Amino acid sequence: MAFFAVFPAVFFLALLSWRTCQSEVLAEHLPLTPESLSVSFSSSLQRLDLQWTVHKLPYQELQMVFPIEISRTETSKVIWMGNYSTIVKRNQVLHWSWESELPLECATHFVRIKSIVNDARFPELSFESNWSSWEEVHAHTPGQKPLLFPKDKLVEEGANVTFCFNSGRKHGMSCYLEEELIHGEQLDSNIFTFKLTNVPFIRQEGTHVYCGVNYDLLDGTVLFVSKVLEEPKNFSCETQDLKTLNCTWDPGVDTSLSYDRQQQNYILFESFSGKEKYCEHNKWCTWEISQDLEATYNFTLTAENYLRKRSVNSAFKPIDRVHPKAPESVQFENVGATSAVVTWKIPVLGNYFTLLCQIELHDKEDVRREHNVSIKVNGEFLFSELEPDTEYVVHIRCANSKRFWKWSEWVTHTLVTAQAAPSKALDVWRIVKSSKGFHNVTLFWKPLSKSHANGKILFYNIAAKNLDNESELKLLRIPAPANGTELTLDQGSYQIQVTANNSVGTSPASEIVIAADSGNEEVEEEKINGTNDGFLISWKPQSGEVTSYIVEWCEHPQNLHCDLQWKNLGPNTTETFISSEAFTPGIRYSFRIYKLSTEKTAYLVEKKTGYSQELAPLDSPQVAVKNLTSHSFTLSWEDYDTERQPGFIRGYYVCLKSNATHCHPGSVKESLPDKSTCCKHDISDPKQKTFLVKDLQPESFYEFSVSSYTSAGEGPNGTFTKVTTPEGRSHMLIYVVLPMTLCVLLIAITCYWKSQWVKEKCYPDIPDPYKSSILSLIKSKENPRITIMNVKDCIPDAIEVINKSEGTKAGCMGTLKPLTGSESSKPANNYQDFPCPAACISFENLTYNESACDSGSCAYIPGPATALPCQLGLLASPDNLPNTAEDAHTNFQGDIPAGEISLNYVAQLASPMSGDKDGLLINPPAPELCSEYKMQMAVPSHLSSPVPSEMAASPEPF
Amino acid sequence: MRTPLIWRTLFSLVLGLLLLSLAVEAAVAMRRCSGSSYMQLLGQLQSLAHLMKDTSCLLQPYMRAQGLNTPVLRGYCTECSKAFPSEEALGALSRRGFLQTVSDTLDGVLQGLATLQQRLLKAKDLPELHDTRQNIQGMKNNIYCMSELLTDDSETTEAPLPGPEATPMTLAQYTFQAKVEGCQFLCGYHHFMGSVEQIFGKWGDSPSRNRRESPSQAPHRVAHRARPCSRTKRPVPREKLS
Repeated sequence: MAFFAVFPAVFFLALLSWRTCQSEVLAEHLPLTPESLSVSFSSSLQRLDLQWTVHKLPYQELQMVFPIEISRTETSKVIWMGNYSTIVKRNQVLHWSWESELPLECATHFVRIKSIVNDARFPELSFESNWSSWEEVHAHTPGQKPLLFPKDKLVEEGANVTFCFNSGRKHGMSCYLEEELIHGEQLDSNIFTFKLTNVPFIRQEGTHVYCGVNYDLLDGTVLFVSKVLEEPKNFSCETQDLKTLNCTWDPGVDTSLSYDRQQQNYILFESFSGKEKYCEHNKWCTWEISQDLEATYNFTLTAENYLRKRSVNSAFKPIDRVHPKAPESVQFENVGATSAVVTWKIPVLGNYFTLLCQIELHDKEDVRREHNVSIKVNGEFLFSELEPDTEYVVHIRCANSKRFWKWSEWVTHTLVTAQAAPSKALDVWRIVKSSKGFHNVTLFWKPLSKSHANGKILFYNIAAKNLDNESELKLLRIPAPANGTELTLDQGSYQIQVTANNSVGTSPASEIVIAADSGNEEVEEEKINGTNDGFLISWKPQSGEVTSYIVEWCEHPQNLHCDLQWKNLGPNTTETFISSEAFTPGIRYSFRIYKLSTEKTAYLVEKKTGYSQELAPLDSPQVAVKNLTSHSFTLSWEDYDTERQPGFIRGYYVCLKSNATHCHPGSVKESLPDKSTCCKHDISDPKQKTFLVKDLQPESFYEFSVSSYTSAGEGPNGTFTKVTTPEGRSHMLIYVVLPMTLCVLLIAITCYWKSQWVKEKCYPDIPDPYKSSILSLIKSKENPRITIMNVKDCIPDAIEVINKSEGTKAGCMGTLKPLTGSESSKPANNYQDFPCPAACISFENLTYNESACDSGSCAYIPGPATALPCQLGLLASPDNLPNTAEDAHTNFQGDIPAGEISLNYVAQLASPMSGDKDGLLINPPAPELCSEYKMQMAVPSHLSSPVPSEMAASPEPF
Repeated sequence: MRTPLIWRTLFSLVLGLLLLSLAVEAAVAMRRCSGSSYMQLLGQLQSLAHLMKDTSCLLQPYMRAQGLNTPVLRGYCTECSKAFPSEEALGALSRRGFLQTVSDTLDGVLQGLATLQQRLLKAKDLPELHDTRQNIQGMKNNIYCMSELLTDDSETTEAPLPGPEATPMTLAQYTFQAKVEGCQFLCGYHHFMGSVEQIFGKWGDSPSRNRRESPSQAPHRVAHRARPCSRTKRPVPREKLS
């Protein structure tokens, strides 16, 4: 039992000692195994940094290879393996780094390493160690926010970036780049990765990548994408003061971001001196010159940001890079009218350099004169041949003449030369108008050009000398800037001299002579054709001595002040082209050509008129129609003013509309805008302002219009005027009607002359009952109220008188009833109720007619029923009665004089007198004679019907 | 012996000048306030608060500048910071306590804006930020003058409510979170100014205390020195802020 109790302990001790011994043996055989392996990481760089040592190197240095394996998530998932080969020195701490594409925070990483001696110098040491144990790297503590990696990563535009997101087992998760959905891959159950390729620059504040579930944001990160740093361009250095170098460059695109790490810096390094300077500005930097100017400087300019470095070099001697400052103390001395001296200085450089200076002289017309001068420090230059009273601009710059690098900046100063007397005579012209024994002379002159005025013109002197009386001299001083004046001279010849004056002196005199007969020239005007560019004016060469020709015209002839222009031409000139921007199409311009004699007297030679461009007429003629007949009429437009048209009138078109289908010879059928047609006649003579339209139809309707035309076209179509030709036989009618009228008139006069005779023959007077002897007889015997019946008051009737006894007559009278107002409306009854005894007279009376009865004028008998029944039968409306009766009475008394009636018959009825209304014809006079008449007029049916046949047979009460 | 005397004299002189300058400064401040009436001040305070609650004056330009105006991030931005006193809490304060709280909170806002400027807006000078600072300063001046006018001693001035000034804003380590926090801070500021406007609207026509009086009809005109939000684009709806 004791053995069994001791044996395990002994065995254990033996085993332990064997293991110890074994390890010591192994240690002796593996002296180059990597030891002290430590792994650190950089989240921003996504980098694992490995550090280890190799102990007990048998030699000072040894070539070794270190195989390395990196696993992700678990050791078995090796994602990278490689060798690191280096020469290992004794006691050296070895470093190696590995950059991960995936952010380290996305998963746990594992690293292990081993070593292999691979030095050809020591073949006996060929040995491969065992793997070290796995080193675990946790870049992110699980369960801790944030969850989306990498954070605030900085990359260049166009880079590829992988993101990972620990979703924490959330479902429905989605991730966005700005607003764009991005799709990922599942790394394990919780982790998704998203790879963005060629990321763009969006803003300096960074690009947002974020993940969420629906609209619930889980986490996000900012990806800072910068522009790619560019190499500095145009890097150069120069000195202006021989003490400091000023280096400049073009930095290119700005890569800075709103992020601490991303700053764009520039560093200047000089290799010979080994000095380095951090530049404060992105575009320039200064460097102190500490060596000789002829020593060489080798500069390296390095642009760098967090991600990249870019460098450029430049080697030079400062003496070759001298850039002088702009000249100073520029002054002008001895400034005259035509010359001046300019002086200047070049600062700083001293007498060490010979400088080449460039001087430019500009006047206002930008004429440039260049001069080169070599100087040391002070420069001086004489300008000559300058224009008086002229402003010049002087530019000066300088450069190192022997080792040219750059011109200095220009320095600019203004030089104004002094004034001088005007150098040229004025160009003078005149207009002469003669009236009432005087010459009204308007003088014009053109202002002197700047180059000839030589200063500011203050006034103009005018001297007018009478050539006939030289003692007579008129002097005028016209202040500038006048360009003309008026003179009133007598009819003599005058010599006029005009000079311009400035503060220094007087110009040469300009002379012109006004002859005694000036202003009275008459020359025929000739038409010319202009162009848009102007007018070509030509004239015949003149005999005699001619010093020059002058062409004058008005630029604005339509204005009151026509803006007179003139052009002076040589004596041998016979044509000239007049152009002006003022020439307007449609405006008529007149040109006068004068010759100037040796005595300076101007003579009118020719007159031209024309348009720069003719236009169509503005208006059409107002046409009057004359001599209108049945077959023709004349159109006239004498008042049409051709001079006011915007072109020379070349003729007229007469357009005639008619029903005729064919036009007369000489006219052409033309369609009008309203789709009608007219016959168009062309009058090519502009002076013809009348036109006879003939061969027309009588009583026909015509329309016409007249329009003018120029070479540019036809004027506006005038409104059509309507004309109707008269009837063709109307004059014949006059020939017939007039004699007939005369004949009728003659007959009428004759009839009037013989009217008494005609009356007696044709219609003798009707006897007046008042003048009858019967009347006197009645008056004397019976009631004075009884009167004679008016003829109009009676009804013509066929009365046949049959002899009856007196008793019948009395009975008839006895049956009469008094007529009341109410009863008067029933005349027919009354009429029927009184069958009167017939008289013995049957007559035909022309004065009785039915109209008289119709009017009722014969009916009223207001008195008692003593009236005759036949009268009652003629009663009409009672309203009409009184007036009618009165009228009848008046007519009766006025129209028929009693003394003239001589007929031998007695009226069958008596009518009431208007002046005796109360009285009734109670006892009508009985006829003494019994004549027989023949009825001539038809009795109206309504009157005749009620008349009973018995009544016609009954005797009248006469 | 003489040197200490000179030093003492100098010390006394400096101390006297210092005290005098403080007194003068206070007098000048009082003098500046003396020209303003209660209604005028109240009107200006309301107008300023009305202007400053407008999110288009700062929050929206900030969101645009930072690229946060996407549909998802916009909603996240308008979850306002809770660091500001609520309207209920403000309404329960006395007038002086309310004014003090507003003034202190605005101090905190100024600090927060400085932090935002330094951390996130360095690349761009956001002009709206400058305008907001001016308006805050103007409101603080008016609050000072209003405090001077409130002479009702019967009111007890309680301790001001804690606001952003109590815990100065510290932005998150990572930029994205910092940006969102900036958003929420500005959102809280606008919301707070809306609450301030509401409270001022309930103040009466008299400087004396009357908690039950109805909202004042003080004019809503913009104060003379207020900087109107000229860069307004589209305000975030009010309901999104709460």
